[in-house]
Amino acid sequence: MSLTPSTEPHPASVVIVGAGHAGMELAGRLREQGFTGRVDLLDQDSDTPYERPPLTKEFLTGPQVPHSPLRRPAWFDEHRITLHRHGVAAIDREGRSVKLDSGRTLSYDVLVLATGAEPRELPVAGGRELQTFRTSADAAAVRDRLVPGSRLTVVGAGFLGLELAAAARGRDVAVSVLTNESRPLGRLAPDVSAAVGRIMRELDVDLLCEARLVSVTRRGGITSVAVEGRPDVTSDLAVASIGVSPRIELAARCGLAVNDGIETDQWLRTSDTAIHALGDCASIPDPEVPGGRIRIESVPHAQQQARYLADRITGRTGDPFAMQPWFWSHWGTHRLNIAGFSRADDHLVVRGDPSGTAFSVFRFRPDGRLGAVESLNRNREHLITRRLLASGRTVAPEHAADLHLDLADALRG
Amino acid sequence: MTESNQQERIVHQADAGSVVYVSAGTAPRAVSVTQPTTAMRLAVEHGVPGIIGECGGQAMCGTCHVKVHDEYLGGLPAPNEEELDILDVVITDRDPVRSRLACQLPVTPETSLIVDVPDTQY
Repeated sequence: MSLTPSTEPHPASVVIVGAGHAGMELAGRLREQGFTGRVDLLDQDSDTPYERPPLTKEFLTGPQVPHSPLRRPAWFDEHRITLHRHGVAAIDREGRSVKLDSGRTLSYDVLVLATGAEPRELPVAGGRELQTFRTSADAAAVRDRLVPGSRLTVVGAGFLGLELAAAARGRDVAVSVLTNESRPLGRLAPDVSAAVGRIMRELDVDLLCEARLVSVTRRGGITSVAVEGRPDVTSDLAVASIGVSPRIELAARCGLAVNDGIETDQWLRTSDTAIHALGDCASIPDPEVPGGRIRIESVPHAQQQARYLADRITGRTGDPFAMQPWFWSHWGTHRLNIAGFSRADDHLVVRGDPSGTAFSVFRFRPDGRLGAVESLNRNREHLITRRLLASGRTVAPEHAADLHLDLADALRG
Repeated sequence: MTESNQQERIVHQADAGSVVYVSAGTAPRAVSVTQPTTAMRLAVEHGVPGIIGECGGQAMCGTCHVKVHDEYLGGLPAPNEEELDILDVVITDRDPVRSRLACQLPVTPETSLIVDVPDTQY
């Protein structure tokens, strides 16, 4: 296997499966970079490609407005990008063509899988009775049912679940959040989880941890969630937000290497070098763990991969993809921002008062380098640390913990 | 008037209800405002190169940096603390007066605005 990318110097056609944030950014960036060949985007979603992050925020809390399109409808024609509202029936790798479920066949020089992810189903009896939340149609269905005075149950205390809970409280809906984990946002620092718990209490969200869910039943418009050793939790609407699974079925069916995601090399090429994968569905080499893999669920990360790939397809770079992930969430007026990727064996250093709701947790890798920073209501620290990580610099743990020292000094050092 | 006609004009002023995006090396691009939005969303939805908006418009990423032409500065709301933090920390070629985040610039069908789009947002 060659170690450098060997994309054909001037591919004549790019077919992109999935018109989410990754696929759309790739299509647009290809044109920005002067790509003149054919660009086809395939997506089964009936809505014009739209922004996902607002669906759990402004879309639920604001006035009854449509979701935000990623590009206006005329953009596709103006940029000669063909949006096919169809799924893929089969990929013919030898013949380099994709067969749509409409029966039509599209040839490709470069095929990109940006198939995203889909909500996991709660593995208990009646788990299918829970509303899922991923698409604009899901969001519209939830919004219609968030009636003041009604009750919402959210299963799962990750970013999505907590955002839903906060948005529902903003519409005067009573909210219970159930999680089988011992704390919300279990990947993050315990101090951050504890503060998020306080924020949820402040918002009057009933957060129940270590809840063993037994079954879900729906009768007469009421959903009951049975929890071991507790009274049933009943509500007018119950939503599952227990994470997502990458959509790998299409890749697996045509024989590409998959695990928890579609496997790529550091140039985002799958095991077939004419096919790439990016965004939520892509399992990329972990830059910090030799032989390891990592899959990142983040809109900015997906867009960064898309811009990188467009630059590579148009010959503007031959470098491997260098990830600089960041994440955000907000609940009411509270903001959580994360620079970098949190790992279980990080050494944690707190900057600020962790008993309040405005502080940062600096995460140092075992080798002492700064790896990630979780900032709660500390936007400026987040921005500085994101730049620190992007520039490959680090900061001494004692400097990070000392509020009297200006963090920006580390950027200049 | 079609958009392509507008693009070919040499722009010295923006008509009411339009935002003009000026990038080095290409013709200025005038975009009509048909409903209230921000200068970032307007640019992204129309595919104006160079304005990215990674964070969707919450003044968090700094990928919608623009420099407002002097004569239009007066009509804009002053930057809040979050925007100032971004301009201070993230933006490398900041202009002390003209630099703004396009996501923090409201535009309406009455707006006229001209902004320079930097070569890179990184």
